[in-house]
Amino acid sequence: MRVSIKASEGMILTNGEIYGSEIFLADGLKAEKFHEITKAEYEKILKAQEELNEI
Amino acid sequence: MKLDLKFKENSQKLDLKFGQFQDLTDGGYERGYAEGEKVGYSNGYTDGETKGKEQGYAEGYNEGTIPSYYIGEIYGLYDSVVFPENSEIYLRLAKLFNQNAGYVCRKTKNLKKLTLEIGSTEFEFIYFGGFIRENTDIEILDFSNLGVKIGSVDYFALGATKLKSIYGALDFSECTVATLWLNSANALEDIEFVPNTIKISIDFYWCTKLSKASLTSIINGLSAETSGLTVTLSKTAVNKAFETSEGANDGSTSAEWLALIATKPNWNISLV
Repeated sequence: MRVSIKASEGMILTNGEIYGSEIFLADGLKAEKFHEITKAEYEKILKAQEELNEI
Repeated sequence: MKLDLKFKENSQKLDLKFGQFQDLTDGGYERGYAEGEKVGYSNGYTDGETKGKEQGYAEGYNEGTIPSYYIGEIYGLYDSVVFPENSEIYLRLAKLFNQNAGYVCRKTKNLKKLTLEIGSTEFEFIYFGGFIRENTDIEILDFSNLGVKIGSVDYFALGATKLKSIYGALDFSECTVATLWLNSANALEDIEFVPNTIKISIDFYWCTKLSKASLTSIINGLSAETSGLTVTLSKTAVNKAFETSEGANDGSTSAEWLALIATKPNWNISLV
């Protein structure tokens, strides 16, 4: 069974690269590397990425 | 010595001197040749073009669709074009002469379905960036007989809010960029990949309506030989598609889902 991590209600997990409310980790990736951010923060990050890509 | 030559009536009288050349053709031969070449080329070109179109029309025509023609380059072909309502196009290319199929239907209006078939090309993969970007009318892309591998797909269906189905198994083995490729494509239900060909981190998190078959194909499409990559999916889609009973909405914890993702332990599988 592979390791999975779940965010609290209304939160998103991230390690700076991967974002998700539930993440099934690849072999070798540690759960300790992840922390929670709010969904509002996540939305801001997505928007910034879109702006960075000039859409 | 001077000769007085007489020619037939209406002929030119020449004043020749021994030891001296005179160009009797006066460049006429060259001019005639050049002109003939032009006319011949023009006739040949026109004839070839006409026959090519006729052949392309005959072979590419599908009843109920706008006929297609043999053309060599399609970059931006229908960019911002306004078609009659509910149009369907069967775009069949005998040969694609460059590697760029970007922005073919960006912002195209009233086009409901596009079928693309590439007969041959010297390239192993084709660029599909911005292919249906900001196309808010298209519902179906039929790549069943696409004939080429998919190159980069940055902004591919960005803003294609009615896109419901992409038919045909996509070979992503040469795809290196998929930036924002399905952002806002939240109507997408059907998509298929050639197994083990996805070799980049890739996002489907906008696609909340992906079918079980599509999600299964995405997981099967992930390369078994990569590391450090992530596929991001919609949790809503997974919970619905793999739910254990009607309305349970518990797909991400179902045995079927867990068994499926267990086949790709080298991938991070993120649900948003």
